[in-house]
Amino acid sequence: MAKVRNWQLGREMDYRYENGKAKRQFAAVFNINRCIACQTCTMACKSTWTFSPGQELMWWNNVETKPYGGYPQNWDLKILDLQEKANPGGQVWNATKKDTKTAPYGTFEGKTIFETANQTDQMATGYIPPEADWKSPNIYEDTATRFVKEGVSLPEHSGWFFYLQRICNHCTYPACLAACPRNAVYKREEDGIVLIDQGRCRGYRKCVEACPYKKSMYRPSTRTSEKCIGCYPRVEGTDPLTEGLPMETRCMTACIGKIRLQGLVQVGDDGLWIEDRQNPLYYLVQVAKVALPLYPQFGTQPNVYYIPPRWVPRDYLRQMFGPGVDDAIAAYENPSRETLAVLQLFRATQSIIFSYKVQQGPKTGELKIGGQTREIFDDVAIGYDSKGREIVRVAVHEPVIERQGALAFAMNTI
Amino acid sequence: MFTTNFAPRFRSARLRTLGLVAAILVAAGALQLFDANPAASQTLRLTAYAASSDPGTDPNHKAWNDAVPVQVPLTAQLGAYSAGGGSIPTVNAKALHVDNRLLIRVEWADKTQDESTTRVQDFADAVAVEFPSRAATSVPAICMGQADAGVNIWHWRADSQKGFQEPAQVYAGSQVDMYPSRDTLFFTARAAGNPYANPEAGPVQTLVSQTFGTLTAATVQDVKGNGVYSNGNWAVVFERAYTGADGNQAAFADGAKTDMAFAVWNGSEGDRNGRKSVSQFVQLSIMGGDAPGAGGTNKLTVFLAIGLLIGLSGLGVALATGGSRVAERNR
Amino acid sequence: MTALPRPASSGVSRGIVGPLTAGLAAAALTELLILRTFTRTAVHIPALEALAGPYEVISEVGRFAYFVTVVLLLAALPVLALTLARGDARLRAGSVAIAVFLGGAAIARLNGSELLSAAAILGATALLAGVAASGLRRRAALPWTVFGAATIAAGANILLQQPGMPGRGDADAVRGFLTAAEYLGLAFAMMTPLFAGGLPGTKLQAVAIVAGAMAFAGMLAAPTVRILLLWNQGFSGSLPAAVYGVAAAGITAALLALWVRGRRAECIGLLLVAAGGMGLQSTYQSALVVAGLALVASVRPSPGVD
Repeated sequence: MAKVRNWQLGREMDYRYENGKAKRQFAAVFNINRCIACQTCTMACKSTWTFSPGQELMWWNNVETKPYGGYPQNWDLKILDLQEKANPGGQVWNATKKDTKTAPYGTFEGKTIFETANQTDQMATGYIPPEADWKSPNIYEDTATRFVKEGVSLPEHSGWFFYLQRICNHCTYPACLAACPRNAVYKREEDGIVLIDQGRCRGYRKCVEACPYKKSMYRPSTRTSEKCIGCYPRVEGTDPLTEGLPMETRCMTACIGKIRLQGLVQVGDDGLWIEDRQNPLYYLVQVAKVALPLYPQFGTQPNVYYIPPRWVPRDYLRQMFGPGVDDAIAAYENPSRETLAVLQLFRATQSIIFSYKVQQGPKTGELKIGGQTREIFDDVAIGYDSKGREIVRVAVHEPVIERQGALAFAMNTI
Repeated sequence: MFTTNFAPRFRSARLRTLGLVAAILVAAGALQLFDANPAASQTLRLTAYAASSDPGTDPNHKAWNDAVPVQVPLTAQLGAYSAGGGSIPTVNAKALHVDNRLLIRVEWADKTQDESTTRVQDFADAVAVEFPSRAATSVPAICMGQADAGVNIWHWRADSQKGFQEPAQVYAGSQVDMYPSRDTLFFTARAAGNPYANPEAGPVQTLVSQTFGTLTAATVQDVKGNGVYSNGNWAVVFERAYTGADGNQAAFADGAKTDMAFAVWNGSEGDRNGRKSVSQFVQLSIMGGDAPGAGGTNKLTVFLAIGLLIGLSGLGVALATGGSRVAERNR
Repeated sequence: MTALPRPASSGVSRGIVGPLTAGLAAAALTELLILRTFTRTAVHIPALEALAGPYEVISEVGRFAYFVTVVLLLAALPVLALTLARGDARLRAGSVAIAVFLGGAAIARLNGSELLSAAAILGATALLAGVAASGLRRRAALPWTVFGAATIAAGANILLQQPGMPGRGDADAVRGFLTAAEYLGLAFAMMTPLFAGGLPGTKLQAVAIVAGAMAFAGMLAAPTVRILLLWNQGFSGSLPAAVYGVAAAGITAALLALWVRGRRAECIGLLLVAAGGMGLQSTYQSALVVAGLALVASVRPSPGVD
């Protein structure tokens, strides 16, 4: 057991291996508020990677309806339950022990899945979801906690549901990697993408058991386990389509709700993100703190960050995203000029945005939100690629174009 | 009495001691150099006699009826196991040889026949035999040099024998719209050359574990095997030519002795990887001649051995009880 | 009346037995640690390719320790036999046992009857355990009597499966004997403080408890520890880990107690028995046990002195 720093938990924790050497880390921000569960991402992934015999139940990307849905069914409740049983009443955060850089959400005082495991046949606490659990990827779709006849209103809806978009988190401390007795799972130095070596895997399903997010999946037609590969040829820029430039994954670029932004962040030897102020991901996660990790208490330091849904009861969200939820929602509901501009970069280009600039524009309006007056500026966000070349330019105010002539007539008469 | 004349005695005693120590070290070095080991292994011996007829890989062939079995006790490798013990307590092992081929037959009781790994929660029954890659005859006693020489493992898996199944075979009425391609490329592990993913591979995998490498498939897969399940018992036969196709593998010969160990996986207990029942090393002895007649060892030896054991241990018990009574009294 | 010189303390042999057996114990422990433990487990350590050079050296040192132990055993066993032969009738039975053991080991080395050699070695070990017990008060003798029984039970597995044996290959009998051996062997380890005349002081008790806790943790945490216990000492490891922890604590306490009470030879004897294990693995390991038992027998306290 080595001691590693998990900044999401604000403390050191036990992990099977020393801190890795990933210099850059695959990371993404998903804005839950905007998702309509159209499953375009899911199908983009499916039609790219998992359309062959033995992969029938395999969805590397899935969108599930919370709180009842889950793929595999009840994955998160089952792990939370295992953890609670292993450390009854102890799975708590101390939100006051905070540090902007090393403990941005407070300190987790409970135990991670590594710390509750027996370290004999389990390197991380987990379970193998039986086949039935994988069979209904979109079970309880659109099912709210209750029907509210009189309707619902903010800040917390009395009857609610939301969509949770899930891919492999390419964790900094992957449980699948720790669990593999064959050293078949590895994390790439160049982008932190976690892969299973299909030549070495012997189908022990230790990774399926250990991954708390259940994103290692067993494939009976090869008797090996497979997982999300972070579309690494695109991220590398080696896919011919990318023309040599790092490009976002299939599920990201296919997103029609424009909820996803993916890129690469720089990581230091201590596991902390190296300051990179103009990287949109760094800005959203470390500066604005508007996006939060999914179940950080599991301890794997996942690298997909979520902007929490603002209508959902906070207790539920705090369990799912940690104690940073209230600040994140506040930062999203009442965004700064910069946050508003950076949010425009979501899905503006297929290439990975390595840095951005905000060009200030004129004031174009005023809004009253919660008794407070907000001014809106038509700022312009400009995105740059890995070589510093401008790849995209979007304004806060989307330009309105009225169609003219015959086409307009035709549209209007339908 | 030792204190008299201390100084001169001290010097000569020291010289004598030094000489003695040197002699011991030199003698040990010489034994090591010439690989002359006075000790002998005293583990179970599995003897491979010449088969009366060629049984092939059929575990129920009549040739096996003549082979004398040994019961090899197994123990759990894992600390935490569900069934309160390595779930397979013993295997019944037999060995034969025919036409310069070695045949090992392993039989064990297992209530469940676990041969499908189609569902994510299912694991298959399996058995493996392990040999030091270099026959460790030089120091058989403690199987030393095992790590130096690496090991050679023959691994039979029930699911490999059964073959791959697609949903339509497992679930009646299941429907798949279409598979765009059945190219090997899209069976990633097959394309990566993973032997477990290869539908052409036989039920037995030959694995080597070199000094420091981890378990890897051997370059040549030349062990045949076959398992039959009946009446709550698995019987599995391994077969290989005396000389392996790959230099890293264990080699056998008439009259040779080597160490070997057994391991059994019980799929329904979630056994895979290190979670298994494993044996101590037993000695495999390949006899040149035919199987001995029903008489086997002559009766005199048996009587002598039993007499020796009972006599000596009886005397020991008598001394232990009688002697300590005397000691008690003297007190 | 002056005390009669104790049989084992007279003559040249006394001068040799001490250093010889001490050297034997040191060499055997080195061998146990390097050869039977390290080289057997090193193969499982991933990413050690870089250390192949040092590994080879350590492995050769282990082999050398093994051969030094063999030479010392070949020297010590006759010397111990001679020492015992000078004693009373009971001790002379011990020297006969050593001779029988050497005969059995020779038969095994020369590929003679396995049945005969196994019976000779098991019988000789049991007899020597009896001799070791014979000079002791009943409570102190108990562990050695139990050890003799454990040896027979552990070896029965191999004896029962020899051609020509009645009831040959009966799986239930094999399992029954092995289970009995497991309980008896553990009972022996737990009872050894009786032989040592009680537990050592509080500080040393703490050391023993730490050793027991380490054994317990090892049995829980590392599957390899169970395998090593099986291959080195002949225990199947099928009982709860805590039992092995208690056994390890017991034998450590006994060793420490013997040492601080000045009973060094008996301490070394017990150490050799522990290094050899129970049952039949090899004539080498049996020889360690025989030497240990003979050493314990040769220095039994004189009557009236405890």
